Amino acid sequence: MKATTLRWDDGWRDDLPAAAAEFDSDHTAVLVFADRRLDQAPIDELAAAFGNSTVVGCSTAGQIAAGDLVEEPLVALVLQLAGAQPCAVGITMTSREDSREAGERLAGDLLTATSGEVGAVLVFSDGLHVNGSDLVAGLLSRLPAGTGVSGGLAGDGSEFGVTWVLHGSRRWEQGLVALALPGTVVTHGTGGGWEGFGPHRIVTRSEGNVLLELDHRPALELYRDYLGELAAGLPGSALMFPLAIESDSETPSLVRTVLAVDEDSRTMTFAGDIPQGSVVRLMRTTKDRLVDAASRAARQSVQQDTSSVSIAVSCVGRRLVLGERTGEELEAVTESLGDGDHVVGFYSYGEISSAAGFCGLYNQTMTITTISEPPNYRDGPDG
Amino acid sequence: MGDVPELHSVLGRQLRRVGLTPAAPPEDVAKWRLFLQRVNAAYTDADQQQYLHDRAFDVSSAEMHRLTEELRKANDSQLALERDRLQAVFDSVSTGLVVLDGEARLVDLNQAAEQLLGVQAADHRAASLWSVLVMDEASALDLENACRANQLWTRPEILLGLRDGSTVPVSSQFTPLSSAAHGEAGGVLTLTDLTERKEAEFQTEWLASHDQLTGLMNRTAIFDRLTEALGRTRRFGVPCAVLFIDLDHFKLVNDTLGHAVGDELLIAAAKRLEKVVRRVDALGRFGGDEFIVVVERVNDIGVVDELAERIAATMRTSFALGPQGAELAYVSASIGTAISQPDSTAEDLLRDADLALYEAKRHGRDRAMAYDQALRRKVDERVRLERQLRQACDAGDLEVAFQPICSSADSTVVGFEAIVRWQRPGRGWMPQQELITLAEESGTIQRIGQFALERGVAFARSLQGRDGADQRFVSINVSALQIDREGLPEQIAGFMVRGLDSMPLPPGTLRLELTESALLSDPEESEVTVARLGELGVGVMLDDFGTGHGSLTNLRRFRLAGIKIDRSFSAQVRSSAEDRAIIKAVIDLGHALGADVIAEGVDDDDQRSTLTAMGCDALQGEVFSSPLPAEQALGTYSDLSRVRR
Repeated sequence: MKATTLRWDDGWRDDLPAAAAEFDSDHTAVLVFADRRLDQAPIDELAAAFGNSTVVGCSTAGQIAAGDLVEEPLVALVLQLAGAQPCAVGITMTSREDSREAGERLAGDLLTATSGEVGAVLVFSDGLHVNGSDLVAGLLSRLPAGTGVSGGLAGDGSEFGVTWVLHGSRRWEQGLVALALPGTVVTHGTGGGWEGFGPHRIVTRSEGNVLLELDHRPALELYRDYLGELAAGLPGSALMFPLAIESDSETPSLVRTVLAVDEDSRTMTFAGDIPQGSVVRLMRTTKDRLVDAASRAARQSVQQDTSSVSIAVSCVGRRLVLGERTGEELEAVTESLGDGDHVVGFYSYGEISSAAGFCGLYNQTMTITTISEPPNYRDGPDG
Repeated sequence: MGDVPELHSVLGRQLRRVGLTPAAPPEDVAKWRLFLQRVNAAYTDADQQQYLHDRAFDVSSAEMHRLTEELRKANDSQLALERDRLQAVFDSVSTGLVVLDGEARLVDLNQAAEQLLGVQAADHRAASLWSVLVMDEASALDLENACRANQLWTRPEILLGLRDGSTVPVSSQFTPLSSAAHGEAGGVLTLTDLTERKEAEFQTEWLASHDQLTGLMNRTAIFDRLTEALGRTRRFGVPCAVLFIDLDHFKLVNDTLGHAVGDELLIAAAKRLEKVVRRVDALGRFGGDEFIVVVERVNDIGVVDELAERIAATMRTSFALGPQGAELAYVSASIGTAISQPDSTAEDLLRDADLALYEAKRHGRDRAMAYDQALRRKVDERVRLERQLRQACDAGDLEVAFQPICSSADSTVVGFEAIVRWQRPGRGWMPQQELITLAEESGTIQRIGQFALERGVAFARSLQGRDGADQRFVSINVSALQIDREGLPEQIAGFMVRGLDSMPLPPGTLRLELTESALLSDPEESEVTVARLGELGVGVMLDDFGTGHGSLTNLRRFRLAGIKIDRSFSAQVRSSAEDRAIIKAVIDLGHALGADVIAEGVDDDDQRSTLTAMGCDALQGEVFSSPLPAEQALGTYSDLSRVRR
């Protein structure tokens, strides 16, 4: 397996033709993470250059390359497998309520396209109109047991306006793409760094991932109280106070971040389910905790194989908290992985990971997916 | 870097990102501006974070404070409510509850405990339990230990001494606090007052063993008492005695003054008995107007006789009964006594005393008679006689004879009395009255009565077709026991029409003879029976008039066909002016009631002429004819001259 990174910012910063010449093949996958507002032209160029490769990706809330948050609106990880061929499928969802069914459909299409040999699966999904929990549940219900699924929900900076996914040169909203990487060795890591504070609250009214009331009080009102003058920055500023859904001691509590607010209906839409009757608690963090958690996530996924690549998917909420210090959590990841050259990824509206034996939608975490191939494939398709 | 200090990592990164170095000032103004923007953003970031943290701290503190207050208020109000509820429960429990600490000191008492112990909880808080009650020392020690060791302590029944010196039986239990494991000792002592339960038990026991009217022991209890006495008799070899008491003429009081007065009499009689029997003797009501006294340790038989005499004497005084004691009743007591034998059972002794009582009654009441060997023999004789009578019934050895009844005016036969006769082997004819009594006592009266009816009706039927048959009657004796049985008129009606080929007897040809006591034992019932018989054409004659105690007023109830003057009066008609006066009165009474007056036992001409002169309508006796077998009696009918003198 071998890999390289390409960046575009008003032109390719790297030698696209040379890279295409070296990497473009039916064993190659190209993962594209880009600003939502990016023009189509660089995408078309990339897709054309890698005509034999499988190109997938999504819009983001910040691109990561070489282990750092970068200013370039497009980064791409080019990954050529020595053994098997990557394979991708894409579909469009009809509604948020349809998320589970969409997940099942996506998994079904992928199984068909790969004849069942999916290996590790990377999923990129619409970031605003999906119930991430249901999506993952739908995927897992169809994929072979034990399949490592990771990826994330597309982002739109801190705008929460439009997100897209990419397959080939095609970009579309309310889309889902899944990439199968057969024959790979994949490890996962995740770290949050958030802690609950204040009283426990009961979800007295919710519908799926739309929250209406906590302790019989409008949830939006509570958030306004806590945000004070920063409430003007809703829904983005609400990411400062994600919700922890308390669970029994056996399973870790789930974290939910806000995707949208509706001032008219005074509702808040979260990236995953907020079950009515569940007990939740506001969360807060410090920059140091976030950095430590990122470091922890990287250590969980580290592999001995120096040719491995890591895909970092971190939450937009972390970026909002870290602000100018966002680079610190990426530095911590790079330090833990030992080499930042092949750390690529994005800030998302929701992370999907199979870390710690729990495959599902994560929020407010740094998730790392490290990919390598077994030694006998390491020397390339012909090796 | 020489004099350049070590940079904050953020500042270092910011310099790197805009392409500047800390070693030299920027030459590119655009880069300098970009750098300043970033530094500014970092400060803004930091301020914003600080603001958010401060605000989150303030808001959540306020929120926590509010929640704590709400919780505290809710808790306070919930606690107050719970306390109120517990207090209500505590005080509404009818069982006394005493809350104790580990040293058996009073923590609290509920209202039931306050009432039971006669104290106020407020006056005794923290005082020793023993300041409000006492109990036996062993139990008290156990309870103190239970308090200290958090153990259960139970007494199903224990007597508590109270401050006012009274005692109360209670069921009590000490239950330690469940929080004892946390170092809190003590618990709750329950006190359930058993007074009412024990009274109820006593009441139930009393009702089961006592007669409710008189308060004396009842039949079961006196029987048990006698059985126990006999047990002691066997152990100590000293006999006991039973006095069987029956009030004479009690029925008359009941009939004439009513049952309420009758009950009053029984109560008064019981009180008199209680006064005369000794404290050690057992007195009980056996049933009706019968009482029993059990006398133990009878070393001297004279004691029993004396007691019997005292009882008889106390009953002779009149009883003032009814409202204001306006009704005076005179009764007497007949008493049978029996002394136990070594092998006597209670049944034996009661039977013997009852036999003696019977003898006392037979000997004219108002007296005591003792059961002895002579009485035993008499009883044996009677038993043998009863057995013989039953055998005679079975063997058809009884016969019915017919004694003519003749007109006093012309000696013509006006009727016959059917008389049942029994000739005992080698003993001759048994007197009729004796036979009837024996039949009644042996339970053969129904058979014998029916036999007499059958023969009497048959004889009446055989008279039919002869001259003047419709002017003559056949009278048949009916026992009180027969008339007591329901359906006598129907039974007679059946006899009268028996056989399809036989003609019904004309009205007036059949009469029944009833004694005063038979007729007046239940005047209302008798009135119905006599009326019904009248409808059947069967007349009723009052037999042996003058010997009973019937109320003359009651005679007006009945349409009597005849009154028969008892032979005891006929025998004395010549010698006794009193008897003549009575006979005269009876004759006048009979005529006033529209009844024939017939004198019985007319054995000689003097009697005949005297009774005829006094106005008797008909006469019956040896002067005309002895009772004759049916065939011979028919002969007298056809040969009127034989009976005419």
